[in-house]
Amino acid sequence: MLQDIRKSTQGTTAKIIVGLIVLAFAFWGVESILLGGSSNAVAEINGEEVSPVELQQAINVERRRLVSQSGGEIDPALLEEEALTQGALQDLIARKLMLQSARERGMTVSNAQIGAVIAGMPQFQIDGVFSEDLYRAALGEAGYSPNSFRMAVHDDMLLSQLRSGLAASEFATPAELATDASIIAEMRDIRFLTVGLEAFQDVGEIAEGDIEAYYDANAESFRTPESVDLNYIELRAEDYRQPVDEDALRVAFEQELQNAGYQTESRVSHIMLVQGADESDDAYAQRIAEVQAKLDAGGDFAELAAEYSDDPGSAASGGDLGYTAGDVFPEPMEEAIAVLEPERISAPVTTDSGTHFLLVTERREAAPPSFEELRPQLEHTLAMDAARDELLRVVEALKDLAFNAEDLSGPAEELDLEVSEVEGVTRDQSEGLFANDSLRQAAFSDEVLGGGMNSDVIELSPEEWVVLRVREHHDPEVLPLAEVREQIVAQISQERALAAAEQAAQRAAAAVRAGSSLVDYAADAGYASQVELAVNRTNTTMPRELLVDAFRLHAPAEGESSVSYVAAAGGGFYVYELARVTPGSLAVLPEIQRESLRRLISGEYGSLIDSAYRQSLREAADIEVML
Amino acid sequence: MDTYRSEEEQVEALKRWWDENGRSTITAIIFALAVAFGWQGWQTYREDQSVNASTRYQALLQSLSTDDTEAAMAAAGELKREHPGTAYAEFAALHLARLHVIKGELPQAEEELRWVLTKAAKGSETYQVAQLRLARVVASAGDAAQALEILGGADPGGFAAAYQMARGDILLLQDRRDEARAAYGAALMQAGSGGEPVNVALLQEKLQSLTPQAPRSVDGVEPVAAPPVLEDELTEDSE
Repeated sequence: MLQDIRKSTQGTTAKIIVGLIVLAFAFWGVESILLGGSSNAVAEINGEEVSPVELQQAINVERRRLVSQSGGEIDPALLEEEALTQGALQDLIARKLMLQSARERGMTVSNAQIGAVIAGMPQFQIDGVFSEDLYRAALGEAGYSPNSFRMAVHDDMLLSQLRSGLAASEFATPAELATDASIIAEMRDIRFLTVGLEAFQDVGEIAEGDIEAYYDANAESFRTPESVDLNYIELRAEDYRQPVDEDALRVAFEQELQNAGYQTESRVSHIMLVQGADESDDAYAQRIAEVQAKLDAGGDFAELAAEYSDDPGSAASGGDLGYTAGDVFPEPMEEAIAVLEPERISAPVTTDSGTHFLLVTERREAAPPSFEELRPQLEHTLAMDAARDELLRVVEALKDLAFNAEDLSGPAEELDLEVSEVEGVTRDQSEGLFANDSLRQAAFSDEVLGGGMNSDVIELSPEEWVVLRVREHHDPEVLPLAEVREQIVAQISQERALAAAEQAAQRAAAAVRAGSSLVDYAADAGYASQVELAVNRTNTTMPRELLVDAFRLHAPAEGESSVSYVAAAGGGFYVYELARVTPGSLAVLPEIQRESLRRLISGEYGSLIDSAYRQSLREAADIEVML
Repeated sequence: MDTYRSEEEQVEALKRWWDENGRSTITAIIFALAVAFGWQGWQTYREDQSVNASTRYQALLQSLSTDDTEAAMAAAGELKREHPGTAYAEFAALHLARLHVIKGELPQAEEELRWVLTKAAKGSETYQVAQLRLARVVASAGDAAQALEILGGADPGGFAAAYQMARGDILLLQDRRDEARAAYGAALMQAGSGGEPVNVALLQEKLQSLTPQAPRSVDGVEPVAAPPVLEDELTEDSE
């Protein structure tokens, strides 16, 4: 048979095939055959796959960002996986595209550079020195392996290099500064008077016909909101609280005492001697003996520490190392400290670091609380722990029962629970239990409202769960006139008062335009007036809406003025006269404002470049999303 | 092919083959090795170049972040000299242009930007950005006509919004307000078109100031003198 194989491999076709296989291995390696094919990528960007793990990391980052941004007060629904996935994926795609673009430009970041950056990160440093332990602990906490963290740093560095090159090298030319300053720092003289609404509130009796006409014209806006009446079961850990067994309390108390916080603490100083690389054992022993002799002779510990200690961190501060409760220093040291009387100096202790002379400068004896003191707290903790466990058991049972049941009364009976009722819960309910977003969403969901099913058992907190179903659904209804009459009267009055105030404003504007002095007119009519000279766009002493309107106005010709009016945000009107417009000048701007203008101009060009760059990468890319 | 009858014959055949082809086989192997090592060496060289340039660039960014302009300029110049073919050298030149503009040294800034144009591939983002900045610098140096020519003759690629904004700035510099307004309007339209939100408050402010409004009409309103409102009557009303 081997002979046959040998023969059949002699043909030209066979040689070509074997050659191709050899080439395939040579170029793509064995992995191409062993690992290729089955892929569970969530997206593919120009042939580069995005793994589910990467997406998950991006989602976690986004979630942490949202939580820290909101200071912890955020609707949990917004932190759900589904809510974050799309945004996280888009961010990830944008990031990958930028990275690909950087690599295409031949940009690269070496391991040495990454190492230098990581070593320089203050969060991994103790007293300004990189700590390997702290580094590993911090990474573990954030869900990174050293390798994946290096990768992330690599990518961040590459991205910042690319951004800095194109967008952050943006500038503002002197000409742009001058032109933009003439607009941004333009100054205008504005006089204005305020026509308040108060003087026009008395609009007299409103005719019945007007009220009816208003009702007919605006019937749509006089509706009851859509609402639902609900049946629900509320489960609270509090309700499952049982008295705590006395023995269990005792055990918990003993455990509490053993935990940190009630231990004796010692403040320790040391003089540490380290054998030098070229120091002989004899010389080292002699150095130790010398220190010992000086200490025995009553030498000052702090002075000797400064003179002899090889521990640069503590030598200058009298050898002080701070407090230990028995778990800070290497074991030989702790053993010596434990038996050392305060203000007494130990015999030399040897550790991996070197030889130590120890001094306990202060001892804080433990002062554990009594059982009675701790009792209420322990009782609460134990009772609630047990109650939560019991609650979870009931919740699990309820989940099964409620899922299969026609309504809530069956499951309630079986588990000995109470069905409560509530009426008129609206989509934007803001009070009571059902102000909770998750509950309202459930109540108005397709399954519960449309399908008439029980909702899931919804977790409001680990100690509170709710399941609900809709008993009755109320569509919006037009309210009868009698019920909204008062509301309509108030609205018509408001409209009329505004119209009267606007007329007064127009009269004032016409008078000022015809030549009256604005300030005199205001005084005669009892309006408040104000004169603001040389205000700029960022002025804060004038009402904002007035400022914006006055800066939109055509500049009046030299020596003339323009008069206009604008509605005030709180009701009423401002009538104003714009007298003089002075273009802004870079020369008179204070340096700090010049600098901020420079940032504004270069920042705006920079962000246009940045966004256009991303956009064009995205347009040119071949992106496939498999979610 | 026949199978060989004995070992001696096989050895004999090999010897014969070697006499005929030995020399060329060795040449071929040496040649292949040379190519392979050469290629690898070239790759390593390129990689090293790139890493060195990257390290230098990182140092440049460090100097920039601490506002150490002198060190930054020195680092940028070195990068351009030592690694002229890399993206980092182009970025360094862009940073140099920025530093020169800040110092008001427009001719030097222009020189840096023109250097980038000779190095970057035509049609690349770097090329398009450098061209845009060149036009702005030229305009600021006093030659608005040439600046508009540069912008007009260039392919803005994806940077149409920024190009229009620059055109608006240059036109406004020449006090061609209507054309500036049109350019700013186009810039604003294109800035939001990609779905990527951009903050262009300054652009909006400029556009608004070029689009002034007339005062509100009070035509037909009698310009009557102020009604003699009595203070106490007012307060009685509001009570």
